Amino acid sequence: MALRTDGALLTVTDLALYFGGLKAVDGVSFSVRHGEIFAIIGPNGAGKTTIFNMVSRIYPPTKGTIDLEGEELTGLPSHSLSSLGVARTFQNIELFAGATVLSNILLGCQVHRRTGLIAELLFTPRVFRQEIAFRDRVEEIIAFLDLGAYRDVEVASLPYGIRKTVELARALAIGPKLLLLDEPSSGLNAEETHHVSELILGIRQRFGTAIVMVEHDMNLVNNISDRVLALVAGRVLAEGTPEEIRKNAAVKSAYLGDS
Amino acid sequence: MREPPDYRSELTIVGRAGREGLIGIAALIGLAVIPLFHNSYWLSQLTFVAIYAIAGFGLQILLGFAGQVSLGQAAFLASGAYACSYVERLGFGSPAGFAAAIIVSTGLGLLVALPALRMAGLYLGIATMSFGFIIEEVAARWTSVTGGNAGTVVAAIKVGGVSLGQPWQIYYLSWFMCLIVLLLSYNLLRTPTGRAMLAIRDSEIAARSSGVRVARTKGIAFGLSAAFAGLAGALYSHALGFISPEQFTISMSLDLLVMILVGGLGTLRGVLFGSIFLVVSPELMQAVLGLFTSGNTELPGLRPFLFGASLILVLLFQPDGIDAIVTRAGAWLVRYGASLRRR
Repeated sequence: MALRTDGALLTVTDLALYFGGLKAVDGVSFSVRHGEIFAIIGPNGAGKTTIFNMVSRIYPPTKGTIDLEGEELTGLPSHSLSSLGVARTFQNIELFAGATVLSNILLGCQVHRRTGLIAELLFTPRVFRQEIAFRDRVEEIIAFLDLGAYRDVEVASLPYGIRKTVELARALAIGPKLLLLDEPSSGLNAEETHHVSELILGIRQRFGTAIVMVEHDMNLVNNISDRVLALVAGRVLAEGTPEEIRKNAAVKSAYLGDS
Repeated sequence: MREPPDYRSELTIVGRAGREGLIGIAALIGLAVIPLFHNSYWLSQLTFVAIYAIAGFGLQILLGFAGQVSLGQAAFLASGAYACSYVERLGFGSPAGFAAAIIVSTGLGLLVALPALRMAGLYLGIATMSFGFIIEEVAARWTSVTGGNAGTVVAAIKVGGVSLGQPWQIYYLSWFMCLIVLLLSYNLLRTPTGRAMLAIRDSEIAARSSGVRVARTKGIAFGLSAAFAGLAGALYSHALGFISPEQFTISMSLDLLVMILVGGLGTLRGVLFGSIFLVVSPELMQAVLGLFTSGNTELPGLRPFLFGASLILVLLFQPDGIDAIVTRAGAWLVRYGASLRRR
């Protein structure tokens, strides 16, 4: 797939979420282009994951708009986001623990389902063909993420790093235009983090997916992101290339405390 | 790294080679020839194994796959049994009666699903249990349809003028239906709707963000589980020849729950094991006790004691139920066989 970096894919305007008097997110605007790797950074409680949860429609925003290629996302039910091409992973890994790696990834194919309940109960030829197509799709992702050794293993028994990769695989099975990664390196050692950064670049290269990630590891952010959004206490502090953010005085003083 | 498997062969059922296929064929032949031995008591017990299994597959879909507890499954068996016998008494024949059983029970299942979508765990258990009490009460009071507490005699199944009243006929019919329900459940588990159920059981939030419609999927689980229970209820009424409200109490709902927990939660084979356990273990226990006590004393508290004790033992020592024990025993036998061959 050709790499597209022109035009806005996701445009967030004046987004806010108030819990009573607490302004978790307040007046945040940014836009993400096709095929871009966009990092959101900030100290704990800055509202990074909250923004993710609003984009993936888990929380309804207090105000503001979220536009995906002209489609307004606020007001849509959360299950419809995947069919618009938005996939995500979770900070604390949300997998189907009692199912195998294969079934977990197959669930990502749910959005491409074209069969009804009755046909599925009868396992009609159409369902059969669909299952074959889903399996082909999943095998491609399994090969890409090198998960072949774990195909039939129940997720609950896998080590943390592998579970993170399985979650990524499930998100990729959706075939997303926009992939939201909530702390892809959390809980991983330096070597695994390096592997993740290569995976993220590989995903963009291969699928042309735009990636928005919430991330604490500044090495990872600096190495792979095209642009960075720095948040503090629910507000935008700065936005720019990793280079610009590194040199930004406001960011330095907010994050490192020197003034 | 393992080779990607050949999915086409994985997706076929008939003609699948290997040990499991052979065991399945042996079991089918066994089921087919049992009536030749004409032990009508055991034949009727085995009929009940099939009937409980049908209802059990339904509960397994609801609890084992979708993670929604129900303490009121007996209500769906009751609605199936009464709907079937009512339609038959009106003179529409048994196929219409069975259809009515499935339709009425499915309808009730979907009705229960509506409030159930807002509940989980203990609250859902209490709500479904209350629903069971309501249906029990309706069965007792709606005398014109149900015959009230005095009960109703159920005539033999009639299909196009042919009566299927003999024990061996109900036996074959029940097992035929049981295998169909097993096949439908198996298909469900390996296609998108079934996977969506496993997904909402394990993580609703991840299911949603993968495109699963949670409410709809829960509704399907309730509907299917009630449909299977309704079919089981219709068969049950014919196998006994008589129905009354006291057959469809909380005790039956709990029996079904014990059955899938002891058999193995979340597996289809476990339902069959659980159903065998439910029917056979009280008999066995009675026989063993008969060796120690003089004469043929019936022990009234035996059944609940046995089920309660078994459930506690399973939950403590083998939470995956009989299915896991059988799987392990099978693996041991295979290893043992291999070691014999090496010698």
